[in-house]
Amino acid sequence: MTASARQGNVPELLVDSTRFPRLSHAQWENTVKDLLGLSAPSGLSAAFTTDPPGATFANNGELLRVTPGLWADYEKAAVTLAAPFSTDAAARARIVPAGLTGDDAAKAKAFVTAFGKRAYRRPLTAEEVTTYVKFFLDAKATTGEADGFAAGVRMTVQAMLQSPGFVYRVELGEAQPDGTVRLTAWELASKLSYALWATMPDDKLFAAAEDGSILTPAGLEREARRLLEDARAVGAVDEFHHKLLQLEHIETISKDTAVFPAWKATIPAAMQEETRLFVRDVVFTRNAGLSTLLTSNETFVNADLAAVYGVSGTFGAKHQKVALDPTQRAGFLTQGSFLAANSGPRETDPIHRGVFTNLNVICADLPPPPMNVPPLPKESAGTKTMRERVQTHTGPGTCGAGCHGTMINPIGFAFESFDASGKWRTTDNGLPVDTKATYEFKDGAHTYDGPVALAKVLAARPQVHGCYAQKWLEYTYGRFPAAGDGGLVDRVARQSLGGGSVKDVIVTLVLAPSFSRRPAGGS
Amino acid sequence: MDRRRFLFGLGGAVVALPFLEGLRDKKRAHAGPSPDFKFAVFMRQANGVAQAEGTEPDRFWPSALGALTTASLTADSNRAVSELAAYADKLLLVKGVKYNFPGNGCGHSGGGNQCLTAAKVSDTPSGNKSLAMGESIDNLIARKLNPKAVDGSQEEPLTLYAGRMSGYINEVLSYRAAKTLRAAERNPYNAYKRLFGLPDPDAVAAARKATERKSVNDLVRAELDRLRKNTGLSKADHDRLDLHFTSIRDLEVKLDLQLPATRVKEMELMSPKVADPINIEEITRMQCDIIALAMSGGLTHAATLQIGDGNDSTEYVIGGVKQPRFHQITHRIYSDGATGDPIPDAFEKHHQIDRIHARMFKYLLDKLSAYKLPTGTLLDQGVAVWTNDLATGPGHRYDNLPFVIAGGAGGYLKQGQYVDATEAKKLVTNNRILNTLGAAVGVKNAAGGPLDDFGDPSLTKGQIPVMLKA
Repeated sequence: MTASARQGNVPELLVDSTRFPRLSHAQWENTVKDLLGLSAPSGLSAAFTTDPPGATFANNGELLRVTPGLWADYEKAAVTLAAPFSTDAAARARIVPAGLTGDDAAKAKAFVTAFGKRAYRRPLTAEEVTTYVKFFLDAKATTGEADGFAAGVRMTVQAMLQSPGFVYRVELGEAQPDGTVRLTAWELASKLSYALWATMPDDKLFAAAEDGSILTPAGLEREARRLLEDARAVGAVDEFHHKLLQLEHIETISKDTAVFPAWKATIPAAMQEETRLFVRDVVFTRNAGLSTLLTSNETFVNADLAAVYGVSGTFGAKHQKVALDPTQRAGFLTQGSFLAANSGPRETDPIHRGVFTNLNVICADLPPPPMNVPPLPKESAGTKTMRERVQTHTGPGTCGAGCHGTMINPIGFAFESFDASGKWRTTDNGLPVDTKATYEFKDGAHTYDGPVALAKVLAARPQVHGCYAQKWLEYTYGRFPAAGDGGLVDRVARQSLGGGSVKDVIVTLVLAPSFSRRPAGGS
Repeated sequence: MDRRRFLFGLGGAVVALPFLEGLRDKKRAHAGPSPDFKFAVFMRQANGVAQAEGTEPDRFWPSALGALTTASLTADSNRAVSELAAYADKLLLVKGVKYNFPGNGCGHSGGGNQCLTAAKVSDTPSGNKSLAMGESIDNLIARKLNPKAVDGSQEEPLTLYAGRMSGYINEVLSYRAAKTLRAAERNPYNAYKRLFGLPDPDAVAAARKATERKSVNDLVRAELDRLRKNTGLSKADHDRLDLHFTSIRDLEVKLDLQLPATRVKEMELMSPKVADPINIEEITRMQCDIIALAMSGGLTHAATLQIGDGNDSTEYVIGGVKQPRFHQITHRIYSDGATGDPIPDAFEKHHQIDRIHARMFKYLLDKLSAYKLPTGTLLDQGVAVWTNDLATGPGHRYDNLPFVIAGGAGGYLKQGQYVDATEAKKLVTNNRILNTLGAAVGVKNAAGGPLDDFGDPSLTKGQIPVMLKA
């Protein structure tokens, strides 16, 4: 690693990573749609060999490889996707430049050059053009098809969809006078596009690569801000928060209707949709940041959720924006997608509410739980609250005191004023709930009483903004955060803590030197 | 593409030479028929062989220890192994090996238990239901050498069977662990479908697809090769591109692994008749076709082929005449027990059935030899073993077990020799020969040395030095 810039106390260093980040399955799907001009995603990636777990986000280039199973999937998909170009003139018209003239070789060259630039997301080299033109012209013999041009288009598409230039975002870069390696304009355009859109660049972004303007800070910022105003950025922001907030968990929960008679099978999906709409509103409509995500009492409910949240008024199946009681609700940690997902069918689960928040909101260093943990002792009616039971089981004086007593319980207990369905409550098991706790943050101990107070404490912590910044770095850079990222994470955290919007956070990250450079000498 | 040329190409002569050169030194992420791919095939006959016991003379082994030649084996024409004269220079015959542990009420079962495990025979269950108290060598070889997929899964040892399953003693060979016997596939058509899929009914379209695939893959390979030549790539990035390259080749090999459609059709037609003992020889040959094809593609490093059930009671056909049950022939009487009317010429019949097995083993060697590689044939890279879960018929003895080995595992084993493993006039236990065979195909012990500690821990460890090429 090489020092490139210093901000604050911790230096910002360049960090090495793979030169060959492979497209995630979602990126592949989006890219194929855009490249081939499809009206909807092909859906073929749904059957692809799954990628290994191990990262918060599915786009981590360090983990993505072309395995034997995936290669077979790629080949099959390429054959399927290319097939129409032999037989369907309208399909060909979507990817072949209009009005091609000249002999077969000239037309082949024009197609290869134009389509190749989009498939490889950079202009093909002269050698590559020569190779592909020959391949195109050989296709009539290879395929035995009568229409040589159509066969050439099909085979070229089939080959390019399997080429390393397509399946990887190749980032070889160019050595700079200071020894560092900077991404080329084309590589940078792709990296930006996949970070903010999860798909290939559009024509304007290609133009910014072509004229080199993307290599200037002003040019890069202009493009980043333009991309963030596009509908495609919504998909990426959705994907980021879906993974960060583990919104898929809510899809598989159920509640005991003996305890929650009003619970309906449609509620989990409504809770997931609520958080998605809430995040979009904060990021894109209100142009706000993490503090708002953590503290806003405005959210989106439909009839199902209005009942859970105790909102009066008339609601249908569609979500509407509402303001909830600000003494009860503040941000995504007071929404059902978190509260009900991290609860059992009958009772709350302060341990999992605490663990989730520690790992995903605070980025606290929680060691994995020990093996063979006994379950909570059975409830004796009317004698103890959930807090008291958890405390006895894990608190001071027990072997779980280290993690539970100081990190997990103080967070989980603050949410005890929400039952397992996410409804507000003041009693638990007939006894008053106790939501007061103290948590030792990096900047000191903070005491709060209840979820709204906790949300405000979280929103004011540099550590929490650092956690959010680190997650965005992981997503936009497509790699694990490294020690050398500490300075950059601190800088972004300060920006976010000072009121910086989510969009500002993203722009700062992509403008940072380590987005477009790697250290000298490789690894 | 012509199959032999294709394999030759994979060896490094046709496709993307520099890249394959680079891969050759490395531990391969995925096996293939390359110069470092080694394998073991175990073919097991039942009921012992017609060798010297009591008043009966030896009709199995060569007449003299030492070098084996086509001429010497041809001269030993009254010995069963003379059927393998054409392979004299590839053979290693080993006498002087025994099973160490007693059976538990049934000699056949106890022999089958120990055959590939060198483990004790279970106390319970006992008799014909007894089980081995350890894993088998094919299991160990596959476990140690078969590549692991990204999801941790691993190809199993190929476990095949020919003949009837009477229910008295069925599979005997392959053990995942103590008392955990692996089921064997006795229907070649099922085995073929599982391993290779069915051939495309439209041969013209299939050939066209293969041509298109190759033209695309050649482009992709060339591009990967260019990327790989960039300086300053990390080891992780080199590995990433290597895996991509290997993935392409794996799919090509897999898609190219096909028997002729007529042979697959024969397997399909045989499918309803696999239990009829009259088909045992043809089913054995079909299974051999499958084993050789699987090894040519590097699908697994170990295979077993069990011929007949625990006390094989197949009515073999000699000279066009269906014979009494093999098990009864080996008892020399019309009975599976101790008393009965004598079977005329039973010893000679036993010898002739040994010859049938020798010819089936030769068929396996023919198939393995048909795959040509730059270094020789596929057979040269592995070992094919013909053995038995008993040494003799009438006595059900466990000493001087027949071991006929072909192929030297890439020069690890002696070839063209008949050797005596006996040490200080004592027979050696069969864990030693299994150690030698396991080590020959590349299995290591815990310390990273050649395998020497397989089988029951009470047994003397080590290999059989006279088997090793100097």
